[in-house]
Amino acid sequence: MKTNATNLPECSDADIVALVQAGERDAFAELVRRHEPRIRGYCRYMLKDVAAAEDAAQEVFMKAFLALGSYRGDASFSTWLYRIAMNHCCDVARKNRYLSFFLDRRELTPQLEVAVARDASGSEQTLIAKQTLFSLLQCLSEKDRSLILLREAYGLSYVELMELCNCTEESIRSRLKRARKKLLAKKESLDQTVVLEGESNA
Amino acid sequence: MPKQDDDRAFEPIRQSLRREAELTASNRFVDAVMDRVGGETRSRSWGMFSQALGFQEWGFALCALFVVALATTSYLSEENEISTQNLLLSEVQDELLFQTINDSDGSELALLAFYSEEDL
Repeated sequence: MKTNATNLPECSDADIVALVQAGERDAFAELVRRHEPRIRGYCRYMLKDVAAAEDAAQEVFMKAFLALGSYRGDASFSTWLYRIAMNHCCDVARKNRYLSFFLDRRELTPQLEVAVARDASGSEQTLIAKQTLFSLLQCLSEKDRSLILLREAYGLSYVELMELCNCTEESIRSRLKRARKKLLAKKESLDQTVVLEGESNA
Repeated sequence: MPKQDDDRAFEPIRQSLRREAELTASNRFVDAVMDRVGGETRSRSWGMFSQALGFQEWGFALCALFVVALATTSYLSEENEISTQNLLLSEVQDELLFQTINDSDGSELALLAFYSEEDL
């Protein structure tokens, strides 16, 4: 396989991984470029704090780079990267939870801010405001939060989730069901404020 | 159907999660990661170099300790040599004093003066 920097964007993840493993360190930038928007988004959801999420995302890519020698391609590169991100963010979130016990125990905003928006087809969609959404997710354990994000936000298949979590499909399904129920219950418990086009109507 | 109701109720959360799932691409982030990758590679190269020499980190620490010990020993022995020289010189001075006194006042008196001074 003959590859140079100009045709890297056309290469598959597996090809680029092989290049990096062969010593083409700079090719790793292409992998970072491809996956950073999702990994950063995932870390932001998991950790809520912007700065901590950026640090965590960097750490995820560093861990991936250092472990790339042991990557055998059994799972896709993105699934493998999500696994690293999941483990790292769960660790950081757990540490933050212990710290927040001493610092700030306000977990959830009392108001549920939602916005009614129209999608491309013209149908109405009720969207939850970002900060409320972040706070809402805090009612889940780190593992369940991660699972619900990977399934609902990033659309990972059950097979990918099974690879990621090393458990059966049944177990994944029941954990997801429980997490969805918990999120819905928390949402219902909040007073709703409907925000329309930037104005708030309580 | 309760399952469908649950799904419908969860839809706003699902849509909201998807909307925020992907952040805008950031070149600065890519650069920051690649800088760290570069730093890591350099430190790895140094590690490989030291391994090629058959050293581990503690090996370097041991070497450094040995050099420091060698330098200290060398410094101390030099100091010792100087003090020995000083001692020799003072012996000569004693000898000279003895001789001087001996020369000017006579040997019997000089010997007496020298020993009484030492005893005191």
